[in-house]
Amino acid sequence: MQTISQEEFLYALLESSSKSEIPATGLFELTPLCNLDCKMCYVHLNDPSVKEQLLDGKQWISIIKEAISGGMVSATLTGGEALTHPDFWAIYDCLVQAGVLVHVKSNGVLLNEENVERLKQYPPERIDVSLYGCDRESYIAVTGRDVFDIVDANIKSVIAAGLPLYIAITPSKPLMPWLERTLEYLKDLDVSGGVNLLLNEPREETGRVKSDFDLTIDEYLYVHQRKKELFPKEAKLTEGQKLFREDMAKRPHVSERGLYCGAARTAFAVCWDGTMLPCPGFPKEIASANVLQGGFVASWQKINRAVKNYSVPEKCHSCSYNTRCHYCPAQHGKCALRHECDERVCEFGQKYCDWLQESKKLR
Amino acid sequence: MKRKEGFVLRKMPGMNLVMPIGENIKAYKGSLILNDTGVFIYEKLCEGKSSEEIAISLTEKYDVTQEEAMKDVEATCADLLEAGVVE
Repeated sequence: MQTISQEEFLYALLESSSKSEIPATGLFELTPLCNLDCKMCYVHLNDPSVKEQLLDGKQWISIIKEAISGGMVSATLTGGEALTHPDFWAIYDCLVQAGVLVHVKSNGVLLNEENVERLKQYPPERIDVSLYGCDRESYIAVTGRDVFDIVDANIKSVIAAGLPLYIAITPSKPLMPWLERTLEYLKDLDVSGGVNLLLNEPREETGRVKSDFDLTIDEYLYVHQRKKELFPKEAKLTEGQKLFREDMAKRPHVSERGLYCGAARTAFAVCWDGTMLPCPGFPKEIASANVLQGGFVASWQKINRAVKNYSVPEKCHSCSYNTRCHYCPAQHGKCALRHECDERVCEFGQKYCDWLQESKKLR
Repeated sequence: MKRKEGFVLRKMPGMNLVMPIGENIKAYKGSLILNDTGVFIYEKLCEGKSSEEIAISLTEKYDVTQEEAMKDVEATCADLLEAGVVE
């Protein structure tokens, strides 16, 4: 009788579920509320009346149970700040007790001693902490809150507790003056970490506009270049990641219909108000459903159909980058509604692919 | 022999697993893969059936003799015991 690590299992399952359209991985955005006020957040709402509209623990657990029956094996709890949801622990326990691999995304402010102890008792698959600076000044500039010392202490206590941790830096205009030091801070922590590729377009109801805090293409490339210079060693791939890459390599890069990624093919996201999307940044006009009204299965089927029928822009079929750059409606935003490319996203994609190729040659 | 607390059977496309849950996640880093017969036997153990009862059920479900079924049950139970998911 064979045993399999949790990670190998997840990737093997993703491979089989991509063929059978199983919702294997779910993201649950428990709340749009947050204890920080990041300038570039695509979710965060400041209206306190939203608190009254949040789904409660019972509603989330009911959705989660349906998702598990549908085949979900991995779940991410996020927000806003997921740990501010009043029923976070009931939801977390429900997932862990059902054998679901859980990722917790957090800004780190509430990863205090009590919560770390709780996580140690029933460990998640991974804790993803978003890092917004390297000192008090940078945190105030980016998040509007003087919480660096708390986050710093909490990150160190998560590391000391031996919990699996990943730290992600989100590049943005307000962070740029502190970028170098933030990367160095991450390096000194000596944990798994990275830099998010691009910023998401904020949802309309946030009132924020991406152009207010977005980087230029050259700035993005600079950030990724510096990250590569400071972390020259590529992380060794796990067996599960190798399996997943092999599976990805077998997929057609461009199809008449459908997308390259797993959004609404193996993955889904449920937003704080019960809207199901293929991924959290996906344009809802293309694929969305209301889980509260239609139930989980019907919602999954609806977004799955929409994504399978979606046609990528004509120009992707003849683009010379189409084996390395795959069309993403979340990145192309409003242009994706017209099955067109946002030229700026294409320019970034092409430059990024060229840069990746060059940096591989230099290795 | 009976099922140990702290594990859950998950049946998924192309794969059946006995996975650790709750506090067991720390102690058991992986999950046990079961074939269809393994799932059948594990589910019967969860229902509290004895080896003999499970072997009889196997003969009813599959085209096997009672002797062959008993061998299957004993081998599977030994594996489940070694993996620590039954006691």
